Amino acid sequence: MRLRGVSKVYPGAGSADEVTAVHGADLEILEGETLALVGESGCGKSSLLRLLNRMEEPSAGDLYFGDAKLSTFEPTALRRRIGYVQQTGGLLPHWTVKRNVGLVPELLGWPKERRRKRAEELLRLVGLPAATYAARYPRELSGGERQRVAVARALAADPPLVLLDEPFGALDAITRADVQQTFMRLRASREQTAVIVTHDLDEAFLLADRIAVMRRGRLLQTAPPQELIDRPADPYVGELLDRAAN
Amino acid sequence: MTKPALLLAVLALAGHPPAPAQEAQPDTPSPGGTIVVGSKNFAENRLLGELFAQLIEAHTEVEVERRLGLAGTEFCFEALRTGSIDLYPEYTGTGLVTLLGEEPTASKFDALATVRAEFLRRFDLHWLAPVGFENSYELAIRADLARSGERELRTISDLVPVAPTLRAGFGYEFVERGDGLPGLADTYGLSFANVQSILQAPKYQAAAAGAVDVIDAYTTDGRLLVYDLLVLEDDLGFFPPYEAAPLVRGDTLERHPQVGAVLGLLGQAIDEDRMRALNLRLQEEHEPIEVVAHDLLRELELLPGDVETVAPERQPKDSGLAAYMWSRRRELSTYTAEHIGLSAVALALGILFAVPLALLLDRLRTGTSEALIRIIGMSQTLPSLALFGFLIPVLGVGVVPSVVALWIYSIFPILRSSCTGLREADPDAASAATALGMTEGQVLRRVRLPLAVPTIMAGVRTAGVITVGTATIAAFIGAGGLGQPIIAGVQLVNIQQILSGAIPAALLALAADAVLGALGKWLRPRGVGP
Repeated sequence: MRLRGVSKVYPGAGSADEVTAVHGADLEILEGETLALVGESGCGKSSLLRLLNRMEEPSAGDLYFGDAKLSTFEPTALRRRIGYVQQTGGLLPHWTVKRNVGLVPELLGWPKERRRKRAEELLRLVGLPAATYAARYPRELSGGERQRVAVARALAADPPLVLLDEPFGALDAITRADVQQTFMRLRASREQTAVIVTHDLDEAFLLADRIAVMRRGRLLQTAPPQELIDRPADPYVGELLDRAAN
Repeated sequence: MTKPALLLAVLALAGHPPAPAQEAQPDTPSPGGTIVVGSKNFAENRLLGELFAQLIEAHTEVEVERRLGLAGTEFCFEALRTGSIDLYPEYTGTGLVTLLGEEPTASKFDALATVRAEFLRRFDLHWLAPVGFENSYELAIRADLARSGERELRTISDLVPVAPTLRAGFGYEFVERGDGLPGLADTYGLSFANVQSILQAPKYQAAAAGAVDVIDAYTTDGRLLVYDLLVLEDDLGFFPPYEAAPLVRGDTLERHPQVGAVLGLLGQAIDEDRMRALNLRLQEEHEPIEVVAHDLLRELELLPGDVETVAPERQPKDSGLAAYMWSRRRELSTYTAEHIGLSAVALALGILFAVPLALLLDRLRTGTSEALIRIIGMSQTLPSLALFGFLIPVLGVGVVPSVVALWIYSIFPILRSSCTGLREADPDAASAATALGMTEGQVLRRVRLPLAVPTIMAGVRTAGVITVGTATIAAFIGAGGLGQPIIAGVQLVNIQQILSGAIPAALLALAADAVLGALGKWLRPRGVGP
């Protein structure tokens, strides 16, 4: 997936109140990589992520999925091929764990039996045995268990691309480490591209092949972790790394 | 069956409430057809209505539906003009001044001749033979005030100089009508310290308790004998003559000529003294109207000898409330069934209208939909009688306008809660569902609507309690329900009768709250709520 000069401006009450969340972003997301978008809150990283599955439309610039413009895809069909995990609350509270995991397969019209098998397999992979968890409702789970279910749900239909918006941000440190491990185990076994938004540089270093640093809507540098440390392209990148190191 | 499907089935059933007993079964028309008898909402007029009804039932094959106690002259007249009722007892003076807007005349013959000609010409309505008594307005003053020290008041002219120190308690219509206070004040130059509007029946008690000094009374009102009140002579002859007579639709007489003939039997049959005694039986002895009417027809020998007539059940005097309610159990269960039917249909229609409307408003910007909801919310502030005033010319009287009025009152709480529920139902879940590829319709049907159910049902519960509580107003326009004994009881100052309607109505409201609460719990999706 490629972004060429993509901007996102949110209109305000007057032109003075306009907020430019993303400013002329050029970015190439390589097949199979895990890309982390890092930066302070409000730097535009979540907006950038939401442009990728057309939850937001760009104000300027173009996005390409393969060779085709992203805008030529029908949004709901596109989203069914892109996994998505949000920070909290994304599970449907009135659906069981099994049904939540089977959501995208259901939208794609998979037969029931195949959905069940797939849900059980994924629940096992995220460490939640179906026998115990399949019939539970989200409110009967801990925060960590819920995010595991959310990850399983995002991967259910084997999408070529998964988007994760601060997926582990609301978890306590011990749970977070646990879920991160699970996520890495899952990633190791497949050819999936993943874009993960985080404000936690440690997490980015742990999970990502490349890191894109954003500040005030602009992409400052996109590089593998080591290169960021060795050759920060912007004083802010160095500052950010220093802060994380402390 | 899924929950929503089951609910729809129940709603569909609610759409067929137990047919109110007043409704003649449309499937099996009686050989003589049906006519509807109305009356105004005070004891004498109700009694005349019942008298007409019993007389017709005794002498003809015609089935009679009773819509007694309609809230006032305008309601009765509109109902008659639009065909919701076929006849009701009216007074010539009222017809002349209030309905035709003519000048009052002192001659009862002139009055009758004028209303006969004009009603026929303008409305095709017929004044049949007057029943015999005149029932005019008069002014009555507390006897102790009429004779105190030097003062002795005999006429309305005598009242004029002292009136500015006196408090008046007049009926609602009297305060407004040309042949009431406005004309009277003009003619005599009369003005009081203050004027309160009070229902006809409690006025006497108010005067007896010293809360008011002067009241308007009816000539035939029995209570003038009981309470210590003095009637002031209308020395300038202001009040027009009010002869009571059946007022009937022309097409009704064409369809049922025998009805006109039968009602003619009552011509000049009841004089003022007899009417006064009858009113007293209703107002002070609290005897049921059906019984008093039946007794009178027998006394007048107007019941055919060869026809077996069933005398209405009599109840022991001075019995307790429980015994009273037991003796009226048949009527009360009918009223309760009507009450439930009216409320259930209105609430079902409210749900079927407000929830889809909320889905529609949900597509608008929050500001716009809030503004629209607030406009719809103003329906809540419409007084029920004003609402009936708008509805009767269009829908007549009876079940339909009552259901429409209750429906209007039920919309707002359901709409309000549905909009809130849809807007605030777990926005994170809705956005995640969208991000994973649900269409807008899928998000609405499968996520937002189910999650909004608890909030929507909270509104339905509120609306249900409001509807059951408000359904007592249906009795004002002849749709029955538990308001019937309440309103009749207020008019007849019969506490037992009031309670016999009020207690079941309160219990029904509590039951509605409990049932709708349980329904809400049952419909709440698993995994949501407490």
